[in-house]
Amino acid sequence: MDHVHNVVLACSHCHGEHLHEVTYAGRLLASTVCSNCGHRIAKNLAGLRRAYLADVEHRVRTKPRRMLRRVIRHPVAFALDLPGALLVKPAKMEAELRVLYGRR
Amino acid sequence: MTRQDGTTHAGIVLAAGSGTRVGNSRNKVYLPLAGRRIVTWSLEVFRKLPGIGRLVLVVRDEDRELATEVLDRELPGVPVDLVTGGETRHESEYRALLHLADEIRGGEIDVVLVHDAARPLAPVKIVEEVLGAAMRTGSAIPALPLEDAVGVDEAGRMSHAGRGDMVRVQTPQAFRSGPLLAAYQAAAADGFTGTDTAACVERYEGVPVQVVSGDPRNIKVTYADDLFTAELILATSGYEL
Repeated sequence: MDHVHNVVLACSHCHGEHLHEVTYAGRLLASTVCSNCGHRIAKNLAGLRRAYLADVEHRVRTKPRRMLRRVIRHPVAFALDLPGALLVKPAKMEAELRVLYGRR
Repeated sequence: MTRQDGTTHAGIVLAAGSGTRVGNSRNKVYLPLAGRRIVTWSLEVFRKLPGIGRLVLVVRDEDRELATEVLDRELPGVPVDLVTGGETRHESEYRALLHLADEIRGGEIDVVLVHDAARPLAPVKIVEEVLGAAMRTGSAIPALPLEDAVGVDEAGRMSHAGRGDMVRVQTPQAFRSGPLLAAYQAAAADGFTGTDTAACVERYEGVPVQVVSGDPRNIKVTYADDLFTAELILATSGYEL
């Protein structure tokens, strides 16, 4: 899953439906920013980092099972996608760390 | 999955009208929420009840590919029919009902549940309650009392007149399939476009709508803030509502 998504949501600050940038750290919601008024809602970074660590642990633990499920369902697609997925993994991790340290 | 009498219930999840799109923005129901898409959580509540054997997801044509990918990844092995929605909620519901029409006419589908994809936190208990009430009375909707609401008169003054026992309506809403399909066909013949499923059934089939208790956790993701609330509710409930 991408870590930044652009969606239209209602803004509690400027009271309209506007494009929002929604940012995630892994599977966890990190922040939202309204493109109209700049209103930002963000989790406390220390709390987000704690939750992220627990979530990463869970992701690592369940990864073999999730991979196996995908291999069984789509063996060809899995084999074709694996090299690309491995190549982009470091960039994905870096993006997650940037969110966790408030650098984006 | 059929019930002992050979019939099943159907769950329709509406994801065609959820939010506006600007440029390359995405429909909000495909946003991740605690590791799965919002729409997956909304479908998941129906999957938990064995009596609901048919699932229909109503999508925008441009979201079809994304919806297929999400279902394949997040609900593997769960049969979900994709139906392209219309311009309005009413039209989307009608298209989903037409998709099920043969089974409804053949008596294979007993009750149809209609749910907003943007409500990912509907507890199973609510689904059981609306389903049970619809089987008894014909149609049922969940709702919460408007405890902190006041009326305002034409001059802008607070008024207690006319407020009565107003409620805030939620989904999923449940209806006997035959009268629901008949109501939508009659509405189509009339050129009527309703804003509410229950109102359409009541207007054309005269089926009284039973109100059951809603749940404050069953929020609709509308504001950006709602995403944080939804994630917190899921985390504090151990991801099992």
